[in-house]
Amino acid sequence: MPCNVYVRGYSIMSNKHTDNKDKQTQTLTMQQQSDEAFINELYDEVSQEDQSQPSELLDKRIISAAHQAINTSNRPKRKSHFTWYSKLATAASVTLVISLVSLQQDNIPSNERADIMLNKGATLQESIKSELEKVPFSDEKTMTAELDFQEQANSPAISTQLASTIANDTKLVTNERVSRTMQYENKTMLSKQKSAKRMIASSPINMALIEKVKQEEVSKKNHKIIVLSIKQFQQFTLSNKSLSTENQWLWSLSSESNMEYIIDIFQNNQLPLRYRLGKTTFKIIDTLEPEITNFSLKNKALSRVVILNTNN
Amino acid sequence: MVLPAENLNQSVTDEALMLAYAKGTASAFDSLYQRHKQVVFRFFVKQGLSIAIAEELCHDTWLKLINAREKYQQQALFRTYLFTIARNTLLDHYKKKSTKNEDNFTANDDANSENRCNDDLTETIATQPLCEQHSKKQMQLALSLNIAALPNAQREVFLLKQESGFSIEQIAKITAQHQEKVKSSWRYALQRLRKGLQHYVK
Repeated sequence: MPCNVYVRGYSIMSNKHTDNKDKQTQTLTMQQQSDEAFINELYDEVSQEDQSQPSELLDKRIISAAHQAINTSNRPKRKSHFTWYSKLATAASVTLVISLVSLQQDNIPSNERADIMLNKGATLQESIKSELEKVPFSDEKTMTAELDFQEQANSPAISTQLASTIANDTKLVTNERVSRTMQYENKTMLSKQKSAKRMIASSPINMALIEKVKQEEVSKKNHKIIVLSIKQFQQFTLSNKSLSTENQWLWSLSSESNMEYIIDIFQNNQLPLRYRLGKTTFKIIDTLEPEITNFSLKNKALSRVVILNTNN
Repeated sequence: MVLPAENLNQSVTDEALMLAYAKGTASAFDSLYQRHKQVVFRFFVKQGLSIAIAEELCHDTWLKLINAREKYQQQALFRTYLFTIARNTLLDHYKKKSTKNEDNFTANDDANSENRCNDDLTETIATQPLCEQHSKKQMQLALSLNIAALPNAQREVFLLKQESGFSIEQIAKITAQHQEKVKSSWRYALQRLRKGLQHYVK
């Protein structure tokens, strides 16, 4: 019961409180309305007098600014001065880079390039050999067979088949396995051989490189420096006398040291033969004759080399 | 949107005119300016500023509007947009001004100081030589002086509502304040003005 009384009392108090609040708000709104009415009345009286406006000068300034803003925005935008300049600069830089690269490539000596090519060829040959040698044939066979068998075993159809056959007869399964491995061995062997042949045949650059290497080896053999004996020298001189001027053998000094000369002896369109002449037995006099200077072999200006036997 | 010259009359909305101006119709701005130049000017004058400063602020406000024409979006009411610019221009002006004005602008709502201010104001009006006690000119002067004496927040709300005709909601948008605060500012401003001007009305 006391609880109910308390609740009732509280509700009465709260009702009183809300009533007071409503009264307050009503009075406030009434007051505000009267204030508004007062101010509006005052404004109505005053507004006829108060007609303040901005000056005409200000009007003109603002309107002209507005028109000017529109006129400037309507004008086509000027392209920057540097557009053509930047394009030209990029084009120039690109051409410069290309020319520099090409010049650098041209400046590599022919011998170096040949060496690079030979090295490339050699590495290629080695790589092909290593690939072929990597997996021995027997290992290859077993590997492929194993892989194939695994694939076959992983597939559900074959696994079920195998399970059933194992249940029936284990011997049959092993026989099948052996026969399959044999078949795959043969297949893989043939395919590997074919692919190796294709690899070699399908790379003309490699073949060309190999041929170059061979040619180089031959030329190296030809360039073996032979010691020229007095007999050989005499034979050369005799044979040379019998030949016409165009077909005569020519001598060219390749290098000289304290002990010996190294000369190249060559005839028209033939690879030169390199000889070593001991300074104790031979003396070389370089004479430039007009008949022979006109004659050139492989773009090499030649001069007749007079070789004298110092023993005579 | 390009509006023909004959269409730029009162039937066209401010928003349409502003968009037309943004698109490049310069004449649209002329009619916009004619519609609102007085309200904007009065907004500055009633702040208690001199005519010269009010004109300067007017010029700045309209220039800002011209420069920001392409940013204007139709969703915003033109008048709200214009008065937001005007208010910001005024704030900038107060920032630049001396510390005295700055202090005034920081809305010193202390009741005592405001009462003192109002007392000073009534004294100044009373001491002026009066040929007719309740003439309209006197009333006008008293009104503008009382408005100028209002705290800044109240003055701002009062001018926007009474002079420019904005609703409480629109003022809340312009001043970036809560509606309740705007309402209370409006109520206090009215009370203060009535108190200050009571003996000028019959």
